[in-house]
Amino acid sequence: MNQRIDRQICALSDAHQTGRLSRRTFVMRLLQLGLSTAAVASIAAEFRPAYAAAKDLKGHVRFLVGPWSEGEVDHQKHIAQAFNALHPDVTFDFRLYQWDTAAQEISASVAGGGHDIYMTTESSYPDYEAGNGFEDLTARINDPAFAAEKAKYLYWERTESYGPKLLGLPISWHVEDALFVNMDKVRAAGHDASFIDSWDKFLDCITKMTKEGETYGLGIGIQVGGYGEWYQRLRSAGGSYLTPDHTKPNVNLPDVVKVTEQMAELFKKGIAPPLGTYSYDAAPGAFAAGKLAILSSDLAGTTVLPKKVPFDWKLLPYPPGPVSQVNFNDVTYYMANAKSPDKDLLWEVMTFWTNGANDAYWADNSGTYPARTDAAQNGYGTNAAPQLAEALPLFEKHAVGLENFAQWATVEGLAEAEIQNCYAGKSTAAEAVANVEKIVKHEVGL
Amino acid sequence: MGLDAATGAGVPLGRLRLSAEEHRRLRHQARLRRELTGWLFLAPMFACFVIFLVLPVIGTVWWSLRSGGLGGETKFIGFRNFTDLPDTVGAGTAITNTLVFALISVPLILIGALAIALLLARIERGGSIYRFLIYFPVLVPGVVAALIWLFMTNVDFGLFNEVARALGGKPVVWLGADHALTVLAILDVWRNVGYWALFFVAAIIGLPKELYQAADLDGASALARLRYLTLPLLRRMIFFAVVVATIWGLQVFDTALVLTNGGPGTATTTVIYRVWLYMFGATNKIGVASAISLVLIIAILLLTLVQMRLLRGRRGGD
Repeated sequence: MNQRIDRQICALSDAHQTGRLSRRTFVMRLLQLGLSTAAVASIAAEFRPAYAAAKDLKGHVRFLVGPWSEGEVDHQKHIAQAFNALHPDVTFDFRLYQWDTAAQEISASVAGGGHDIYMTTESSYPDYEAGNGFEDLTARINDPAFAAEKAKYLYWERTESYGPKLLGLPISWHVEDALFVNMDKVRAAGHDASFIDSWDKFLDCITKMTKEGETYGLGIGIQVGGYGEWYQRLRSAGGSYLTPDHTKPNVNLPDVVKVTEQMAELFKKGIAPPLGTYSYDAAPGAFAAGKLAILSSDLAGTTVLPKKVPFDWKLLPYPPGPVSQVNFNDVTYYMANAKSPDKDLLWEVMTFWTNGANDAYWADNSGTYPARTDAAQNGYGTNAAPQLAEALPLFEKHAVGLENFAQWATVEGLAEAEIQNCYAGKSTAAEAVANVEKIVKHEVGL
Repeated sequence: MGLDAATGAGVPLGRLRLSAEEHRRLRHQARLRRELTGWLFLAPMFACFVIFLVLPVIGTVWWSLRSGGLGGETKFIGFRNFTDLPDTVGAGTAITNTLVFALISVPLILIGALAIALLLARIERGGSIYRFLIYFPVLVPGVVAALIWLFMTNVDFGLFNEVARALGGKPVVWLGADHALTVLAILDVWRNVGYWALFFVAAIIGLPKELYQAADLDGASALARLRYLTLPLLRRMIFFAVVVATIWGLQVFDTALVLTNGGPGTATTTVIYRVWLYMFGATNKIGVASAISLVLIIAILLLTLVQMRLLRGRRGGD
């Protein structure tokens, strides 16, 4: 609420300073805002929702969160300050884990009672569902008093598909791989944003954008494993790591081999830079410098791109595959340690952290999409690159999540590396896809 | 206090010497005190040895026989983690990458170190400066070294490609699938050659001078002195260096993680990298990671025994 008021005051102030509002109107609007705020505050005090904890909260809450952006801890502290405006006697501590070791750091911390609230990824959810380390929030989430609030969160069906226990409140959904597109180069190649409507148009466009020794049409394979670059092609070809009943692999299909060949062809033709040319950290810079006309990467890139890129750019999904158009994403949750003593405090903190305004603030600053339907009206897109908010409906339309089995992340990491061997010319597409199927069988134990 | 003064009140005058029994008892007490003092001094090291080596190895054996993860229940599954290893996709690649890495880096490190050591041993003025410069890369942590090389191998602005361009060549993708493992091995040479060079310098300086004076009088060439004097005299050092450098080479990990992330594809995925991947980048695969670790420990042990046997044979069985 405080942030919303703050934003409204800033907007009014800007309007007054730029001459769009007279002084009289400015003062009147401020007065109205003050009165309405007072009214809302008094109503809120009278009718606190039943799920909300007592007003006089006290305690110390320890967070273990992922390093989404360089300012992650600052963003967390920003939300903590807003919380402290309501509950000054609650103190916070924020620690970061590393992405590469996140699963083990979280497991070890949960087992040892090291932290109270954890930012967790969807890929580990099946594992957490099977264990007892995290507090079961089902009763609180399904409390009728929370129903209106629950309805604002996205993807409950995905969370509920993992089992009977609801362990987390979603804070964001993250597009694991998207196309950062230099639209100036697209137009120079005689195309427009519809070039992603089919693979043929896509191929034509990136071929024309490629200038030897100067620009590669498409930067792919920038990071090994784990962020779904090939996985979403697999899904777009009608494949998946496992069949829906999880009894056998669903990888080695003719269409999957075909889309893998299409990707490998980009390297053979010199449209994509050889693997190893750009690292994950260096790739956004190469895109900003025009060396990559299109960069295939996760949206964290939006937080590290220079503020002023000297060309028009957009975020777009991959073209459709033989079966469907797919944009792969996963959900980030907040979960509470079952060993932490004050569950009411943790619930109050988690619901505050994931409410519309704070969800919007955090997603805005971390290069992700909010997991709340009311995030847009709470200012989502205020701090982020405008391209991020603009692409939201497009990505949501094609959104596909990960599969519901515990070894998904293990398989994904190994499979993407195996497919890169094909991109590097070390194996054919058919061999690589067959190897991925073997990986699935071995890791899942089929 | 002397022994004579330590007699009791009831001992008659003139009998100040101790009996044989008392002597034995005192000797026993003194020996016990010495033993205890010794064990007391050894205790911290022994505790560290148990806590940081014995217990983890026991833990690794325990985990290797189980399935499950840190956060949930585990189940005893016998040797299944071991028997499944040969079917693992990429296992062969990881082993090949590790051996190729060791085969490139270990000979280059040791030959380079010996060559540098022979030069350093001849320098009489300012030797310490050269030694520091040679040793400096050893002081750089693996992660930092990898980051330095990440810049040096950058395609667009890296040092290597700047040199290539200055010489009229085309830029090279140093961390591409074809070169990444070699670059990783060269980085290892850069990091470790100084360590072994100083090791050899110390050994060379300690060699008996009179043998070299005699060789000079006999008119032996520099090459002959190296072949018939220096190398045979350094054989124990070289043997030790070969064994230890090989063990280190087979354990390459940190630079592979930072410089190439095991890629592109599986081009730089080594055995330890694969262990790390199962340990930290996978769900409930600690048992598999432990099984691979144990197999690697045994493989290194066997390789060391083979090396010892081969090198001992060459030394004529001494």
